[in-house]
Amino acid sequence: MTRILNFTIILLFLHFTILLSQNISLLESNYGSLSGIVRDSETKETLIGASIYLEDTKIGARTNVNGFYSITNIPPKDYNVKISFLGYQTLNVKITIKKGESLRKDFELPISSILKDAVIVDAERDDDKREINISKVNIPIETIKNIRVGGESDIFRTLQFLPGVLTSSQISSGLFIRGGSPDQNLVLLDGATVYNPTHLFGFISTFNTDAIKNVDLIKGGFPAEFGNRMSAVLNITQKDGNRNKVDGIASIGAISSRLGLEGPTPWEGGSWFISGRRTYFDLIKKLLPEDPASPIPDFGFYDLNAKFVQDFGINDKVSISGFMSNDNLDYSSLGLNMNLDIGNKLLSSKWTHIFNENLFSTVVASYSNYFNNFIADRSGYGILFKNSISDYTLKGELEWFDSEKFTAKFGFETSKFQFDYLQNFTGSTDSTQQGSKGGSTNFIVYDHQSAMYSQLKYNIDELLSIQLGLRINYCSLSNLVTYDPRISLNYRLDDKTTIKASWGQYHQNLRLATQPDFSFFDTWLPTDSSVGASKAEHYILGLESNINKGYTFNFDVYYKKMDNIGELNQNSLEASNTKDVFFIGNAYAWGAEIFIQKKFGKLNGWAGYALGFIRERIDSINRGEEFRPKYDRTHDFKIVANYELNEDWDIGASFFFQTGQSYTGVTSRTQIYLPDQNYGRSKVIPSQRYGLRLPPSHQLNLTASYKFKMWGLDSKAIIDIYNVYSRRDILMRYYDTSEEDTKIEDVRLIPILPTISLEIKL
Amino acid sequence: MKNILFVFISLTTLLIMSCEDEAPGAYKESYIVNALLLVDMPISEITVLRSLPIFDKYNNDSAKVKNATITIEGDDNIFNLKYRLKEDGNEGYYAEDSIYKVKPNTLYKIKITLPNGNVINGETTTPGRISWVKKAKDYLQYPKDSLKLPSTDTISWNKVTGNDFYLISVSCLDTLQYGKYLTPKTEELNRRVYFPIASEKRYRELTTISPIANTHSSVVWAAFKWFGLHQVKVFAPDYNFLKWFIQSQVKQELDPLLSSVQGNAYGFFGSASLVADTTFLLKNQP
Repeated sequence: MTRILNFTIILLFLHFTILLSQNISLLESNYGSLSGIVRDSETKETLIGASIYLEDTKIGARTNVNGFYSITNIPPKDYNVKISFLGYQTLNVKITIKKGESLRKDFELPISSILKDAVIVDAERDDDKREINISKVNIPIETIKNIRVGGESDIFRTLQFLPGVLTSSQISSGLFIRGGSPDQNLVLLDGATVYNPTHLFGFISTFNTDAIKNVDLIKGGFPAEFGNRMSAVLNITQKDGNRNKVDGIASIGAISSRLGLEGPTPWEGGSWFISGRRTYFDLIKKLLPEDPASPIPDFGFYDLNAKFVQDFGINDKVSISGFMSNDNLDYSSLGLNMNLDIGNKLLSSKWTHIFNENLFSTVVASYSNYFNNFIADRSGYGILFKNSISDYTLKGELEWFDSEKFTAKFGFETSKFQFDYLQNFTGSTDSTQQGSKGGSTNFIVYDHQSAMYSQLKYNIDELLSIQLGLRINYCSLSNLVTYDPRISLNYRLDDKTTIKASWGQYHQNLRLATQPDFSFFDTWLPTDSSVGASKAEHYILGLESNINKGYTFNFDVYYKKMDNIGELNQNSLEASNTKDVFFIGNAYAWGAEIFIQKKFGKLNGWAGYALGFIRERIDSINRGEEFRPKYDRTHDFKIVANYELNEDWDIGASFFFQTGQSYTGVTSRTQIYLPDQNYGRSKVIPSQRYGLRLPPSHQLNLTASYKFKMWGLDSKAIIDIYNVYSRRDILMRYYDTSEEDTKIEDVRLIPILPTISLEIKL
Repeated sequence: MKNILFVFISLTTLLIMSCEDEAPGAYKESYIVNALLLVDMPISEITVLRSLPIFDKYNNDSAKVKNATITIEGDDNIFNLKYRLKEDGNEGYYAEDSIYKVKPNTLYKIKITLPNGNVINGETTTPGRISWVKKAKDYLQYPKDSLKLPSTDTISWNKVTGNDFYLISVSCLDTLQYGKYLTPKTEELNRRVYFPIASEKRYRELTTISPIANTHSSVVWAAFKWFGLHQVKVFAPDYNFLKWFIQSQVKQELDPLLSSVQGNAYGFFGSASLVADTTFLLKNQP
């Protein structure tokens, strides 16, 4: 029955595609078209999401992720084209469209020196209400730079200030979005998947904000072009680099220092960008007195971003992006030597080609590797972990701008995965036998996963738009074909307000084995024949409105059903397949989110509130009864505000208040003994899993920055106060039963943390 | 004014609805079975405990269930167990037949009937016998460099069919006397090995037990808390005992998945074969 339904969906989909293309082709002959690329006039960076409109008409388009736009089926006559992008001056250009002509026009927008409200309102008014971007949030990179922890601006920390985006604790960067766990989020950097986007065991992300141009988060209902994840998409685009001159930025902070340089290539139409960040605790540590019996562990991380972009003519562009990150922890004392080494390596190349005003293509070839290595030795008794995932992906996409009414995307994606598992708990780590037995695991698993998708957007009339998508996935290891149909609707109530709805299926063939609180030994596993693919179904209804003075208002309600999800089996001693590693079950989440955002202006930021409920049922946990996971927080209120006091001073604040984290209570206590033990260990008998709440979490952070000249260079001093009123949130609550009287102990997080950092523009 | 009132009411509602729950005090009784059969040894020291209220002062004596009816069936025998307090201070349920020794590779079933009528069942198949290949030296010298602590000896044993995991237990047999075990004897008193341990009870615990997925192990100095006379045991556990070991050492909350008894109770009915030996840990700076 399911198979029949799947084939019916495919047939209907193909039929609809053919029908549409036939109908639309009839409209074409007597019209002209306009296409091109929109760039920043100073750096020549392509602008993502800029709007291009023919004034006094309803004809227009937005630039895609490559800065390309296309407007077809334009009646021939003279037009005033209005090009606008938030934060840039609006450009008005007169053009003449002739019958049958395909006009290629690239535009360059000058950055707005003062972000006056007038500019913003202008840009907002031209915003295309027919864009079907349900549950999509775009955060300006300048806002991201203003939200800091310990002086570090951070993408993930910023995203955590969005309603409905939760973490298991304030020191964790793993994003739980609408009930989905962090491994259910697709994190893309220039089109390539990043498998471990965190440093410092999850405290901050691996993405250096100096290297980033654009950040889009789709919290649900994402289109068919994205796949193999169940919950959300975080699409990050790195800077191309300045095509006019060499410049850079250097900064010194409390945790790390950064240096970024960019400039033109020797050939016309090209640029490069390189940025690095490193901690210097290891350098400071050398200056501190050390007690050999209680040594301070060596810890440090670095990351490196690089991009090279070159145009080949006006229709071809090739970019090569690289990204590396590494965390290293060393400790040696009292007979224990250990080293932890975690990192990512990513290399991707992208070729974009403009065939004509209708057809745009992208081909991405990428390699992404994430590894975690741990080696410990205690008096000759060794433990060894070497786990990694390598992803070799080739994907291509054709973007077809048939008309103002109809656009389509077709694509494929094929990935070869290599999972390396080397784990040895036998004490003898010199050689690890092949296979998995008795405390040692040593094998390599290969998997091929491929997908094809088609995504059609049709503006039925001026008010109603529909987007249909179908993604077909194949996983060789499980020999499983899965179908992900998706549909989104957009209905304009009036000039300012739009209603959006979305439904879709989402399959995922990868699972992450991770501890709930710390990402020490996160290990990716494939879906094999022992467990099926995880599957989610999203139902979303949203309302979006542009209220006055550049404010946008979003209201979303959602329901998400998740099947075949996994929770790490921490009792497992041996694992020969994926099922041995996880307890498998189902979950569902539902809720509502309100989000008001002002992207630019003297005052910018957002406020949001989310009401959410998440429930899981896993046969082997909580005696098979339903429970809410630890990260479930019913109420989640967040506000972020930045204000430009004058030309020199900017101030900012961020605040959140949310329901306390869940924890498990107890009903009684006992004492258990192993042979010959005189004291044994005290234990508690748990009540309903995560049935109780800790106190609410709330926190205020302040920031102030002062611009000045230092050695003739534009500089900025930044003062951050993290956790202003020193509210030490509870990381975990446990019952200390080591003595006869039980004590309730709370492990609390960091108190107030003021930091100063300095940025110099080179 | 209306807007301010609305915001105020909303925030207050939010605050109230987000309040924490009070720590639970409601007591719910649970039973915990500790039943280990050791190959070639009599059936002994099986305990049944009643869990106690979390905020009452814990008293192990009041936790003991002394009037349960326990039978163990296996090896074509049915053994009735009686609660006994022995002269050496050990107590628990012992088989009335104290001559009988637990057989290797044999299925045993336990049935415990609690005074309230609840019945708890479990079963275990005993592992095969284990034997030493290489015992620890009679005297081990604790390294002088107490930071690097390289291993100076190994112990090894024969593989038991079906067992990948073993448990090594190191117990200090005399925390006070040191010199009396030397030749010639001295008056020197024993002392601790320096190692930072937070918990008072773990600090005083005489026995450390560690798992190993191998048939040999280097001498890991962290297993010793005192110098002096020690007993080293290697257990070949069945899966029930191994799971209960994880429960004991890793998890603070009792987990039904780590228990191996049925009937609304936690605990285990497991078995193991073992080898034992003594060794003497010499101080690094006598």
